Amino acid sequence: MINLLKSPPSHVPPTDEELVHSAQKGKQDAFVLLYERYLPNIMARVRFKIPEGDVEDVTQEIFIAVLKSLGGFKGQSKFSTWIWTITNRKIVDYYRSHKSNRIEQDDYEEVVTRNLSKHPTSSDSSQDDLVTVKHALGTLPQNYQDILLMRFVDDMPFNEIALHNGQSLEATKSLFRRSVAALAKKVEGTNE
Amino acid sequence: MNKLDEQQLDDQLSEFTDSVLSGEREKDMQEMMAQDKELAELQQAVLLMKSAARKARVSGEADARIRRRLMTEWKKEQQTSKSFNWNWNMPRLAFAGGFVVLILLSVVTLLTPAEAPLTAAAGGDQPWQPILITAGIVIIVLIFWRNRHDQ
Repeated sequence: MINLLKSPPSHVPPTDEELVHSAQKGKQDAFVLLYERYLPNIMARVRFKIPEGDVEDVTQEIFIAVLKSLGGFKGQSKFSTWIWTITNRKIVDYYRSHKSNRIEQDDYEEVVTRNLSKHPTSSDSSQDDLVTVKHALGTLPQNYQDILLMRFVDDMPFNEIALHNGQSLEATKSLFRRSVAALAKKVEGTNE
Repeated sequence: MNKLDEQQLDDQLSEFTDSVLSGEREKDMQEMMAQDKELAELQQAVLLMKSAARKARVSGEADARIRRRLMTEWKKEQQTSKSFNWNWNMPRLAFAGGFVVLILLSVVTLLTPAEAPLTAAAGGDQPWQPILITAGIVIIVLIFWRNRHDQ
């Protein structure tokens, strides 16, 4: 990849903020780097929340929204937080746009759970773990789903999750353990 | 289970999860698996969740399709951005140029003695008014002309 920024000789990768700044100036390579950096986590989060058939479309919509809004990003929050917010908004929009579900914004999570339970992720046997976990995860309470996705999909360390949730580290670890226990129980129930 | 036991379980599971996600080898993981049945079950769930999250990220074909679409959108955005500059900046400049001429005309008019009629000024007593108007028009035309040639 072209080294588009004035990086120090130690080849430290550019920060998100540097890439955003370059992309705002019209540097396509910078935007591509941001895309490559965030695609795996965004797609994984979408895949855990939305029926498989729509994962690609929703992921694409998220990045197009990022592209269109990038000019307005002033760096008041971290880029990762900003893109995470756009992702969640698009997931809400997805369920809101499915009128047949007749849902209100407040209870969209309930519909997420219902839809994920109805739609298997894939019939590919190599994806068994994913199918099993996605199905089980969709039946867990929202705070359990959130902490599991933050730790495993968004790669947030426990102290950041604690900060995000406004909890102590101990409370966060306790919530995590209870979430894993609930997941294990659901998976066990699925396999029986 | 008492409070201390729960906290120990929380800490041990968090530590195990950190190790798993930091990419330690599977062999090391096997050694870290607990003898305690409850903790071992939780550790198995962590490994399953890690495996699922890894699989959820992989999709080469989708990546290629999304990337193509994004690049098309990128080009559109860049064109829109240029168009935006034309639509907004050039008329603004033209407007600013016209406004300057208007101000100059107003100043000249105010400075003109009351007994000196404007028609007289146009007739030769104050010949700068038609010159200023013409200069203003020429400036505006030049701005538009130059911008069109820059496109």
